[in-house]
Amino acid sequence: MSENSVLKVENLTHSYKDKKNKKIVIKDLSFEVDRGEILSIIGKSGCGKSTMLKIVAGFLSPDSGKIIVNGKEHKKPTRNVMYLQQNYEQLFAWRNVVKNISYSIEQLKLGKEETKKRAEYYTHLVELDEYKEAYPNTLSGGQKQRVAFARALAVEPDLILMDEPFAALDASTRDKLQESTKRIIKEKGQTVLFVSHNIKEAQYIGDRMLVFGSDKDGNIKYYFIENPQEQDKEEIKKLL
Amino acid sequence: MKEKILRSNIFWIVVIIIIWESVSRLGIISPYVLPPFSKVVIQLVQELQDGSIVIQVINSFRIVLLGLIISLIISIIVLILCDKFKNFEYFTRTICNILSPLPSVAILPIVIIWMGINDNAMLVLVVHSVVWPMIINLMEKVQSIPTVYHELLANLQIGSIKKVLCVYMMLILPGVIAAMRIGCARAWRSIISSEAIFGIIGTSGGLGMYIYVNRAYGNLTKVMVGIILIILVSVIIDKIFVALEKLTIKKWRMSYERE
Ligand SMILES: Nc1ncnc2c1ncn2[C@@H]1O[C@H](COP(=O)(O)OP(=O)(O)O)[C@@H](O)[C@H]1O
Ligand SMILES: [Mg+2]
Repeated sequence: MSENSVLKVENLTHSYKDKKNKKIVIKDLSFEVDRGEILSIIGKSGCGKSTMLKIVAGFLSPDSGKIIVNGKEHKKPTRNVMYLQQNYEQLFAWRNVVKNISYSIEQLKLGKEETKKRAEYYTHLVELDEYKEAYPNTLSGGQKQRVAFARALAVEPDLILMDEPFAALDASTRDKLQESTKRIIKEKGQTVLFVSHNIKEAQYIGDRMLVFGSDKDGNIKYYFIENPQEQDKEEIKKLL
Repeated sequence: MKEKILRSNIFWIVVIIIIWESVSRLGIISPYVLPPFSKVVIQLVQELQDGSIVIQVINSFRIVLLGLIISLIISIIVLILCDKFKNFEYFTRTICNILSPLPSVAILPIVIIWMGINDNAMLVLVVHSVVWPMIINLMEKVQSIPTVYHELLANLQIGSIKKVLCVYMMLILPGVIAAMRIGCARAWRSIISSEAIFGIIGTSGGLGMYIYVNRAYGNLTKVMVGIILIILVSVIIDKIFVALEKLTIKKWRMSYERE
């Protein structure tokens, strides 16, 4: 395990069982993510990306394999690994923007002053100062997603898992958010797993890319791509 | 649309009152069997001026309110336990399904033997009639909360008490008020029927007892006064809850409910 690694996934295998069939979704997957690194993850819809994130988050137990975060095995959900949902309808309707963001900070028991300061800071970071007092039902989808992002960031976890965070947004909002999200992640030195089904997005966001692909015979196969920005989109597409 | 319904409601109430008044006045039905509406209204005004009936309404209502609050507290405690222990939920469901169809009048004799004839016995009846359906109702509302919230709360490691009190109750607030409204109607019905059938149960008589006593004296006009008051109080309570529900739905409405 490298000095710098925040997350280590070891020989992860997971399957879903219904009455008769057993469907293997993740098969012997291993990788490491360094501190401050963004690993973007791409794959066809239904290939097991969300399943993998939920296992890393501790919502699901894998059939076999280990998740190690900062040298310790991670089996149950903790604030140390924040999972950011795709669905932006995840705010508290009775709390305004700052109060939504401060909800996660309140759990850290830092004291009133510090909590408030931090909430203001993260509100500013996601550029929602103007909407500080606004309630979720008055926000656009992109703004809601920013609040949810800030709420996860504000815990200052070792790892943030983002599951197609922009999938439900329109194209122009998505472009803007991609840019600002990457900037913020880099500014904070936050370690992130970023799932996307959009190759261009994953190329832009990720320092490295993990492809949930298949080999010639259609078996599950994982590819890692360094410097995804410099790769040809069509070449990546072939791996899927 | 709403105005139209209201207007037609008023129209039919007026028609019923006219028919009621005329059949009694014209002697089609003996006034001893059905006292004319006007006489009932005059009696009602007299009773209200006298004031003792107001105290009786308040007596009944105090127990209803207390019963509602106790039921809500019990329901919240049960929700917390269900969140903490998965098995407790199955246990609770079984108990609630067995007990909720049981009319409070049916368990009245047992309650009297156990508790004696006092306000507490009345309170037990009211809580019995409210709490079981309320628990089931709220449990279902909690289950309908989208997974994103359940996962978020697990992720932030929120404890069961805080989760239920500060988040679930807020997420389902319109549902909580709806449950209170149904509970209130059930409690009101249960207290009136118990009093009206068994007479004095509490130490201070309520509206049901008023009907019981006047039936015993054969004073049909006063019985009618009691019935009209029950209708009025029920309608007013219901309207208050509906207004509260609308207010919270409008203000609180979670965006997920809109889809
Ligand atoms: N709870 C579940 N029970 C059974 N099958 C599931 C469950 N969740 C997901 N699946 C199946 O597992 C596969 C992977 O799902 P998912 O991880 O959500 O894919 P992705 O996020 O890559 O689109 C899909 O084929 C899906 O149908
Ligand atoms: Mg998914």
